[in-house]
Amino acid sequence: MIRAPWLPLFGFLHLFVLGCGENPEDLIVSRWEESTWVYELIDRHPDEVRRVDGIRLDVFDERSVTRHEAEYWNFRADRTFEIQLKDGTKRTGRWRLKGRGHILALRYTSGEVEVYDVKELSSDELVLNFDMGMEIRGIARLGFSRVAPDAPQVSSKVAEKGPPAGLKRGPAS
Amino acid sequence: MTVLSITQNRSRIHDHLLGISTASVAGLVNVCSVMAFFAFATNITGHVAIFVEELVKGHFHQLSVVAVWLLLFFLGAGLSNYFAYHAKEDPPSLVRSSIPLVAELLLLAAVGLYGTLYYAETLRETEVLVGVLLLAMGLQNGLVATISGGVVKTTHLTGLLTDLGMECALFLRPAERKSEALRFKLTLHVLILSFYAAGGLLGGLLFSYMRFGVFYVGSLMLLAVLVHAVVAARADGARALEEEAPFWLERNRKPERLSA
Repeated sequence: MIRAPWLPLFGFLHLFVLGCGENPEDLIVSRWEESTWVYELIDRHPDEVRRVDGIRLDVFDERSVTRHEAEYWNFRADRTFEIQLKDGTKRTGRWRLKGRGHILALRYTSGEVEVYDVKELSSDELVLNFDMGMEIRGIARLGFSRVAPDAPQVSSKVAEKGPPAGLKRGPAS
Repeated sequence: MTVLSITQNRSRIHDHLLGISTASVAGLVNVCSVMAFFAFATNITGHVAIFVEELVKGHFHQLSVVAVWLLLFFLGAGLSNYFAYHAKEDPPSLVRSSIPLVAELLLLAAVGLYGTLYYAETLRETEVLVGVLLLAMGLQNGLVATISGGVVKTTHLTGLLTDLGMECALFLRPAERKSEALRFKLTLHVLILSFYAAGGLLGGLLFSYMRFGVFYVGSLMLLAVLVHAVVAARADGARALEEEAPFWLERNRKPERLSA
């Protein structure tokens, strides 16, 4: 029923299914240290906004947006993660990559869910966008650098630089 | 005649019914795909843009994934046309024109089943399941476009909105307003758009409760189209037989025996 003209197409499909390039699920497994933290698409100057917990929170009081001052993010191969906070506490849960590997969903053991856009994922760099929603007009961009497996647990670079931040939002409906 | 008939004299109501039913499924599948996998199942324009973006960024894994998705949609449309083209032969075969719809129905049910029982949320599973949904949507769009002569396209909303805009502009002209063809297309496109949105809304609401079970709902909607087609075909067949019967009986009537 399927004649010869379709065969090259199946061959092409098979070639692509085998995949080229590294699988994002393999690339993300590592310990990552927060290196940059910027807001995009906002009206105020970034330096001014950086001192504010969240973006335009005065307008969206009901939204739960807080900072968790992270030292490092550790993504394990068994698809669990651990975020070491600045105050020494740890947050754990499960990580999942969705779509074509461009969405990172973090499901905390407490039940909260965070969803990030993976803008860049390479052997030495991870860039996540935390989309605050269209109505807030702000995207928080988190940059990470890969930490060598034998590196010390607390990075002096991060400690000197002050609190890197992450955003938390309430449980996904 | 049925909604799956591909004869030249399809009635307009058949195009309306075909558009309504398949647009609802397309909307449901697309919204559920985004909710479950964070990827669109019918937005080919978007996928082509993403393909180019990933190419520019040099993300070869993502590039290959999007390429496979596009090829699967393409393959689905091609297969549908392959079967529907043969169904155009005389006499038209409802069985052959139904094959793409049955395949789509089974693919949606398979996604529902796998998602409910086995899905461990790995990236590979996500990529494959989105691919299956794109194949299903390619099958559907190829089928409805082929059997309706290109009049009905249920996942191509960019083109649909373009047509709708032009038709609304024409409708404002008193000279054009009375055109039956314009009224038919305007009604068809408004119906497709409305039912696509309604299907999406239904999918979004049901996904919160049923999770992957919502894909069974899509399968059931397609099953309803198939059942309607079969019932209508049987009714047509019986009617045709009744009309043909006198001639048939005339041809096959045995000569009466003369009584002794």
